[in-house]
Amino acid sequence: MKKILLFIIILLVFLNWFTLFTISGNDSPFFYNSMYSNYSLFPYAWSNIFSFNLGSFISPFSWIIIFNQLPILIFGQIFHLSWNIVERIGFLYPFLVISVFSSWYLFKKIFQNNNFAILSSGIFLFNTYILMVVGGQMEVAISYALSPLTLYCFIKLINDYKNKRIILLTSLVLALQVLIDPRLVFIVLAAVGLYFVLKQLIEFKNNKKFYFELFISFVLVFVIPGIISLLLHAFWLLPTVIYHQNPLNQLGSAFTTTNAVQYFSFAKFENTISLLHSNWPENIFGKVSFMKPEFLLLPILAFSSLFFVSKIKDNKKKIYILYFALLGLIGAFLAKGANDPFGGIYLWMFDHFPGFQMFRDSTKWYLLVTISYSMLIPFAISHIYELIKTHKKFSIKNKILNFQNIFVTLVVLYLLFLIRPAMLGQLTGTFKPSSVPEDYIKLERFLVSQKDFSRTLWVPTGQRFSFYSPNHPEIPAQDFFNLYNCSQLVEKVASQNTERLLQQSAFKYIIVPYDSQGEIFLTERKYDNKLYLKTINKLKTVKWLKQINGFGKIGVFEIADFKDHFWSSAKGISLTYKYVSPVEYSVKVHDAKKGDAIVFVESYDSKWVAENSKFTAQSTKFDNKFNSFILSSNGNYSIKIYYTVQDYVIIGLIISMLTLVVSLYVIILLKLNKK
Amino acid sequence: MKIQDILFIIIFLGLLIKHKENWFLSLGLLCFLFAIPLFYFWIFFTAERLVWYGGLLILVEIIFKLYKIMHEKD
Repeated sequence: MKKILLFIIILLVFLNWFTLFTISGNDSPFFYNSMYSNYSLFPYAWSNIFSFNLGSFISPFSWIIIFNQLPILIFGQIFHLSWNIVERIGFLYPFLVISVFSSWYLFKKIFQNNNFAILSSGIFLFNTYILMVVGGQMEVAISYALSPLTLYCFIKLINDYKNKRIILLTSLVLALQVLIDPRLVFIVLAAVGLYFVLKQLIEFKNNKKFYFELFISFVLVFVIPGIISLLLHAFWLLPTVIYHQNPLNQLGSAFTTTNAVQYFSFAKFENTISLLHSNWPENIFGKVSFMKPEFLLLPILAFSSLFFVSKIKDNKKKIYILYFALLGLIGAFLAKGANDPFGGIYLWMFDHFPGFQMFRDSTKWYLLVTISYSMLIPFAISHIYELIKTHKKFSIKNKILNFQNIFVTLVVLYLLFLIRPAMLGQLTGTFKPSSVPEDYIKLERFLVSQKDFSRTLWVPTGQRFSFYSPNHPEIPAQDFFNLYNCSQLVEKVASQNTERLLQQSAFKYIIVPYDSQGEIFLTERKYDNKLYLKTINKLKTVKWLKQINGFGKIGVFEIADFKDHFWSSAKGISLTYKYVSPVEYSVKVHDAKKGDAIVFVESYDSKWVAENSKFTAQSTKFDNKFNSFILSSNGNYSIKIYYTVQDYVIIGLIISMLTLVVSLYVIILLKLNKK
Repeated sequence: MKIQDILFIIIFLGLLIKHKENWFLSLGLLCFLFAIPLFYFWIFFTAERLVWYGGLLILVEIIFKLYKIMHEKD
């Protein structure tokens, strides 16, 4: 009955996920079948499509590759399924299954209570925080879903830290979650650290043996799983460390300053402690809703579990209750970011605590509140249920119609009342069906038919249905020119000296998107058609642009005389080239002279080299922007253009694979020995 | 410091002196409960403060309970 009820609520809330309509909301991408071939499971150190500019070193972000590309590879490339199906099988349904299972499992194992474990799943899956996140951020959502499982593995390990099998299993689960979203792993590890500290405090004895055991347990719980996880992630960590790249530096000051934290601190303490997302239910970035006071019953329900602590005989359970209550309070305090009370603490931690810079958006800390409440509320409900059941005043012999069942029904109805916009289909993002405009399908076919390399410049930025490939990278104009005011940007694009820059950067088309979702041309957070018309009309007046018709509301403008991916200004030389991979090109030069330069139109990076059996030339800067190579011999020959950081990716990949194989082998061996 | 804060500090000190089990917790939960109508009627300042006080009172109760468990062990 309980399971059926949960299933019905899932169907009601996530109705759109069980249809075959296109789903695309917020950060969730859309892929045409022709885009599947862009992806491979093999990690590369360079990309010109996962970059906001003319290509960049992407190893610091390569952890996401397996999670993102495995479903595309299996269901898209092998089974040729459309994105509508790939997205559901690969991302949406796994989120539902893992969410329900992991919170249910954590509650069941921690409190040895099967009756109310399903309520734990309900709270973990149907709270305003995660319902806002699944509106479009699937990486965060699946990492969120895994978090109770990772936490359980660590709690088990802390309680039994000499168990080698648990050490290895925990390491693998930790590494798996890092693959999806390392930020939530950091939060889970903070929760693990809190449990570790509490346990040591409770068991504290002032003798040498205690301190020795404390040291050993710290090594086995944190250091060993940490090292194994690092080795499993060597394929992106090794090149990142060797190349001395801090991924956050690449993102710029908008991600790393305390001003950004203050700007992004949307939730207040009354929101976070009530497990109420500040954007609920509209999910419009920056639009903070008024406090909904009915949510304050949630912390009352959760923290009322503390009344039962003194009645529990098992010390372990007592610690769990206190631990989850503390976790909820800490989570609520951190999720409010720089807001009062004591907002300065968050800002100080952001500046000084290693890893905290990942939390410009403090709402990620809601995770701790959801885990806490999904444990505490079912626990409190189960004890109140028993209290009513055993109390003489409320004693009714009817098995169904009795006070304890009425109480549980009222709680469930209250929880459903809180998420009524979800039940009534009022949520946006992935909850609403959308369709791909015909104009975008025409544009995709048009670009696929263009066999030669060229870039597309999207003014002001790309649309969720825009097409891109390594052969036709999509570059947002606002990032290319570092200008985020639409009017200023259009003026810049239309200016006379931009023509040469765009030609040299291998741009063939400037595209003004049709904003079918109303999320690009915005004034005061609302779609502004005038802004769209102003952009397109301005580009129509530019003499060096020729408009190509046939794409409806999408404005496509062609730039004449654009450069190829490889070109040379030297006299007499001719070039042909072949794309091998994002980090390798094969170039044939004809009639070259010693000292001739060839230009490679990707962002300058000194790790690009041109090599053949006779010479190796390192990249030098051309026009302060691109790579160029000086040829050191005459005649006709082939050269390999190669991004040398890839060597470390390969070494890292070997380390990762070996660690995985050895870990799995040892786990199986230990399991067999146990039998 | 507002009148609400002064009142809270007086009550908090009184509770610390009396120090009875679950009093901090009960008052903390009552703070949340009283904040509900205040938020409903848009009396935001006091409602916000009540939620802060509630959080602090519950934190103190947790610390006391932890201390008690540590003490019981001895």
